Amino acid sequence: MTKGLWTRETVALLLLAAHGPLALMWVWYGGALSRLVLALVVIGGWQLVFMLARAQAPSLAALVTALAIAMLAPQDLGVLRLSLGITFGVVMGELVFGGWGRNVVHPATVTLAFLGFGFPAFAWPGFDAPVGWAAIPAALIGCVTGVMPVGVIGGALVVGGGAALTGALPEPVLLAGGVVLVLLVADPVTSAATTPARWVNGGLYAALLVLFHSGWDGAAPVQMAVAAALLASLAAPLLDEAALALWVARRRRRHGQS
Amino acid sequence: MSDLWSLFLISVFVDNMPLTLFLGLCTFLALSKRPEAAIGLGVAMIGVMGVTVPLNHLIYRGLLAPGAWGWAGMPGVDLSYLALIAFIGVIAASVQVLEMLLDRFAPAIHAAFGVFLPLLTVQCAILAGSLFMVERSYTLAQSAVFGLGSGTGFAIAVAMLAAIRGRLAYADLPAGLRGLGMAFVLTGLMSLGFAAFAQMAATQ
Repeated sequence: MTKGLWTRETVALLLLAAHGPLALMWVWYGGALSRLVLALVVIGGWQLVFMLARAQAPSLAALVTALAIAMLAPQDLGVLRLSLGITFGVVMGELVFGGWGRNVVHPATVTLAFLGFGFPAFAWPGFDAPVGWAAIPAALIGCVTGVMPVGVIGGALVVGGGAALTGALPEPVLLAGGVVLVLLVADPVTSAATTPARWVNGGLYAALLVLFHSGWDGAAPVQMAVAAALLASLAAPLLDEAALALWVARRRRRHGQS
Repeated sequence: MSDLWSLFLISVFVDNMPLTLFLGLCTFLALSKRPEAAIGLGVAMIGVMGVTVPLNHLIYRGLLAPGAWGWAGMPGVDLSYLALIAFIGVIAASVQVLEMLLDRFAPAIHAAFGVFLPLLTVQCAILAGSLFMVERSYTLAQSAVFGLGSGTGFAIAVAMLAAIRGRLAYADLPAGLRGLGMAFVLTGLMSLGFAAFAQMAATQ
C-alpha cells in the first residue's frame, strides 16, 4: 500500500477525515463519548499487545473502528460485555490477520455481529435525522479523496435509492443504512477490489437491507444494516473472483487463449 | 409454485448445510483452498443432492415407508428401518457415476477432488438431505427442490470460503492459525453472517 505519500496511514487519516462530519454530528446529538473512549482503550491495548508480540505496527484506523463501534453497538451493554465484543472483533477480525490492511472483514462489523448475536436482549441505537444525513458529506469526502470505493457507494445508492423511491425502505432504515454504508461497507480494505464487483457489492448490501426490512419482524434498522454489511463483506472476495473470471473470459474471447 | 420457490430459498440461506446446520464440514474445509476445486465441489453437491434426495424419496415412499406395500396386499409391512442403508446405497451409486463422469470429462477437477470425491458417499450433508426429506414429509417435487436448494447453498458457501481464503495470501497469520485454523475462524464468521437469515425466518 506504499506509493509515495499513499502509505497505509495516509489512507487511514483520510478515512478518518471523511468520517469527520458523521462523528461531529453524532457527538453534537448526544453520542456517548464514554463508549468511544472505552473502544479506543480496548483497541489500543490489543494493538500494543500485537505490537510487542508480533511486531505489528499500530494503525490510526483504530480510530475509525472505535467510532463505528461507539456509534453502532447495542446500548446499555456495560463495560465488560462491550470490552468482550471489541476484543473478539478486533483480535479475530483484524489483528490476527496481520493488522489493518490485511484483514478480510471489518473489525467493527465482527464486533457488532458478535454483540448482536451474543446479547440479543439489548436495544440497538437509532439515529437523529441530521446524524444519518451526515453520511452524505462523509461519503463525498471519502469518494473525492479516493479512500472510499465509488462503486460500492454507487451500487448501494442505485439499489437503495430505487427501493426508497418505491417505499420499500422507510426513513429510519435509510438513515441507518447510510451510516453503516459509510462506516462499514465502503471500507477500502474489506470491500470488493474490482470495479464491477464493487458495484455489485454495494448493490448486494442494499438488496439485503431491503430483504431484511421486508421479512425480519422486530429487528432494529441498525441491526439489519450490520447483518447486511457482514454478508456483503463476506461476499466481496467471491464477487472479485467472479469479476476476474469474466474479465479473463472476455480477454480470451478477444485475444485468443494466450 | 411460490411455496417451492420459498422452500428453495430457505434451503439455500436459512437451512444452509455447512453454515447453519454445520453438516458436511470435512469436505467444506478441505476443498475450499482454491476456488476451482470449491466450484467443482459445489457443482458436485448440487448434482448429487439434486438426484439423490428425490430418488430416495421414491424409494422410501414406494418401498420402505409404513404401508408402502399396501398395493400388494401387505399394508402392515414396515421397512423404514432399512432407510439409512438404502439411502447410503443410492448416494454411493450416484457418487460413483459422478466420479466416472468427472474422470472422463473433467480430469483436472477429478484430480483436485482426490480422496474427497469417494468420501462424498459418506458426506453427512448429502445423507442429511435424504433424512430431512423423510422427517419433514416432503413430496417428490419438494424433495427435488430441497435437494437442489441444499446443494446450491453448499456451493455458495464453499465458493465464498474459497474466495476469502484466496485473500489470505495478503495476510500475515500466526503460525498456529495458518491453514485449517483460519478456515475454522472464517467459517464461524460466515455462520455469524448467515445467522441473520435464520433470525429473519424465525420471526415469520
